[in-house]
Amino acid sequence: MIGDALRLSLLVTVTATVVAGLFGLLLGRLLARQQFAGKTLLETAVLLPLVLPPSVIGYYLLIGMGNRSVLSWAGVDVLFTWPAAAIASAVVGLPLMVQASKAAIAGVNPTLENAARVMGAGEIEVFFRITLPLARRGILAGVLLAGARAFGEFGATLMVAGSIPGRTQTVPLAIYDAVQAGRTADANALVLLTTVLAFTSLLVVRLLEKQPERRDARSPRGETGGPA
Amino acid sequence: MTRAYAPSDAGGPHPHLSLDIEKRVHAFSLHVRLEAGPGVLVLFGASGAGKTTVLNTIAGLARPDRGEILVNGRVFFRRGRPPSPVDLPARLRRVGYVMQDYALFPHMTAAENIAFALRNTADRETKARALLDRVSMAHLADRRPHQLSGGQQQRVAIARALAGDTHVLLLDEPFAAVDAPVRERLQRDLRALQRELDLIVLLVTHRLEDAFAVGDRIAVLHAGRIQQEGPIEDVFRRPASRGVAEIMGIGNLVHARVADVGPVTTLDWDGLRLEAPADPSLTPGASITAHIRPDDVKIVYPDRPAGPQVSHNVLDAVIVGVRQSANARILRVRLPNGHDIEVRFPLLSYAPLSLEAGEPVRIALRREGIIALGSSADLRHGN
Amino acid sequence: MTARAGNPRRAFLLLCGLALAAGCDRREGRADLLLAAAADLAPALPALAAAFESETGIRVTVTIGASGALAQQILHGAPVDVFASADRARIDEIARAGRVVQGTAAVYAYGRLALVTAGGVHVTSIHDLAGPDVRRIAIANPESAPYGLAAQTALQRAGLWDSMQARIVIAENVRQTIQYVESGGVDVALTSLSLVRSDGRGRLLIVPDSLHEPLEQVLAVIAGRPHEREARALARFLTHGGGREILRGHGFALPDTAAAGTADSR
Repeated sequence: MIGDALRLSLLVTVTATVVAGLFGLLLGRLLARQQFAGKTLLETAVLLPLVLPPSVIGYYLLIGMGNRSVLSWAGVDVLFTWPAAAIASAVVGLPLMVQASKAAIAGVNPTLENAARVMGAGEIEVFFRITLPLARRGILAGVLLAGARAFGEFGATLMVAGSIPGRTQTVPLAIYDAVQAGRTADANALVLLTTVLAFTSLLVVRLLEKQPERRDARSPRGETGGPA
Repeated sequence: MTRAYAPSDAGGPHPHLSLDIEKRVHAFSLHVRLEAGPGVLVLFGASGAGKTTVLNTIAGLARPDRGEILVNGRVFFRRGRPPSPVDLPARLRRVGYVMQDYALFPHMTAAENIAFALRNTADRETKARALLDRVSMAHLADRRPHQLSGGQQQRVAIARALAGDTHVLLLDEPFAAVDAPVRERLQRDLRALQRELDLIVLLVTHRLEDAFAVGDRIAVLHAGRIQQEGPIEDVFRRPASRGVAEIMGIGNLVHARVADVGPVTTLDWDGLRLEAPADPSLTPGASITAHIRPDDVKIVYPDRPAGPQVSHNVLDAVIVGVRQSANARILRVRLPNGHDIEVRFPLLSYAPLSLEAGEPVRIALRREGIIALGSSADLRHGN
Repeated sequence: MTARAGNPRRAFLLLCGLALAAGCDRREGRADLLLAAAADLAPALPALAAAFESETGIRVTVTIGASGALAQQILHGAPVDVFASADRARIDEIARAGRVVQGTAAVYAYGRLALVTAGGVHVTSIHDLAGPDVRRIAIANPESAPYGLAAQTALQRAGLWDSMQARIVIAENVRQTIQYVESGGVDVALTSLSLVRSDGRGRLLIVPDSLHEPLEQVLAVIAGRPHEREARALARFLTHGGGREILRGHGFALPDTAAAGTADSR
């Protein structure tokens, strides 16, 4: 039972983190660099899962993935399967990723990107060779945060994926179940594991944030008039 | 180094840049017309005048509201006039642009920075090092920008800007953050590069001495328009308006005649004799325009013996005006020859002296503070 | 730059591979039923599932939840085959939406109310709750949990409801009332007998059925599912077959076979 929960959590968390990571990165870049009508609305919508109770998120997702949704009409039935859990986890992790990557990308001097454009680089090249490398610490922190959040997701997951051992019962759901059923040994083992994982990822995020950033562009050192 | 491109044989017309644009910028409107050929054109103006915006429109980073920009016959931009609108993206214009703060990629070495600009050219590492060598930076090719001094970063930025085989080199305040000796070397090398590569160089600055050091022509930008444009000596000798003179901060303009040359240059300024530093390029009888630096005019204490600083060009003048800025006091004094000049000193200097309008004052003009404008070589002052 | 990009890229691919491997746990296409069950059935479920599988070879997977949430999920198309609710109301709700196979709604058990105390608190009948050493008592939410309503009714009928108001703690569900008493937050919990029977912890007292309305627990086969025949078999197992004894052994009272069979959805 613990093994199943771990396996499912690995599957769900990795999937959710990849999805939230990619979408979050694209959204982060959009919000950091573009101005457009409705931008504030979009930003607010993206941040909603941070403040909505998970049960509310779960309810919205239930409607969005259930039998009256577009997904269902397209033949995709995900309720009570692990992809539903992954979607729920991705949704709650997305705002964290968006915020982190938006800040990281905004922190890259746009003049550097402009310089690259003037040198002939297209937008994709500018993004991958200039923006991303310079923003990668913040982006990585965002991925870790989103992943940690995805791992711990409970309320919304319960609504759209149920708590089916071996199929959708991730670690948080398994902990809840074990506690309710009085299986304290199982509960303790899972709680300990979760705590260690959460602590480690937050520690890594902290360490990433603490490292000094490279000095950007001009930083004239002592003008000893050396070889120049 | 075998040059990757040769002047004027790029198969086409002689290099030429033509700009005629209008653009609304914050609180005012830019309405700029410029023509430039090979040589250094200084775009001069105060901060915020729109100079950087003009460069950005050429590079493709800013879009004018109306107008046309042509480089070597290629239409970079056209809007609001026939035939059809054009707005070439920056990456297709490929002008060389040394931005303020240089914009060197901090996560790449100097060589990699230049290799980036070389795109997918074959042997780009070799070519990058060759370009670095051209600006005397080959030995620092593997350093990161934060390991380089300001002057070194500047050179890398210039090499990077030239990597694209361009005929146009834009520079935004290139000398603002480097010290005098470094600056002079850079300026000399820039002029050499321009000559060798037959470049159209458009250089933005708000500092007079930089304009003189490298410029062939100058365009003064103020209130959104080019107020005056022409060969640099002409504009200085004959500023089209007091406004232009003020913008360029050339308050203490002196139109004098060279009376004598030798270890010291003697000038005759409407009857007043002044001693200026030696200048072998001057000949007696020549007319020159000079500028007296307000900071290099000292006040002589009436009761103290004259020290070395105040032993030359001692004149008795009358104070006609006093004003104050944040950290300096500025006196306007009338000289015996009827001309007024400004004298500037820190607020705390000359505290014991009473310096009021109407009072007489004895001043001494430092020789080194008399700067001949438009004269080519070494009548320059470092700091 | 390219050399350094290799490491994160490889790690990423490795992680994806692991995830996919973890996901590949497809069983073969034999019938695999999903039973959605109310929380108070939890202790009985392993035995029920095992017995059914050994009898029929059909595997039963279970998801446990609050009956209300389960009903919502079913209404939105969750792939449940049999729904064993803690009450009748939820079954009616989904039947009205046409999600129930006609004639399959049936009472499978009657819940029983139990009084559980922490060690040290002495209670021999419900009237002892008025005593001085009972400082706090937990019940499930009467508005949403059938056992909560039953607890309220029992206290009312025992004439204790009003006087105990200040000492009553409302828990989210029956499982939580047990947590409260185990952690010492309350002295007594009024909860489902099925949940405490397996425990053997603390003292336990069965509340007489006369003190509350019958806690009818109704199940139904969900319509539109691929393995309806097997689902019906599971329903029958619970209402008429080997499931009954297992349920009784876990603290539920049982309906007459006849009564169970005719309890149709209204």
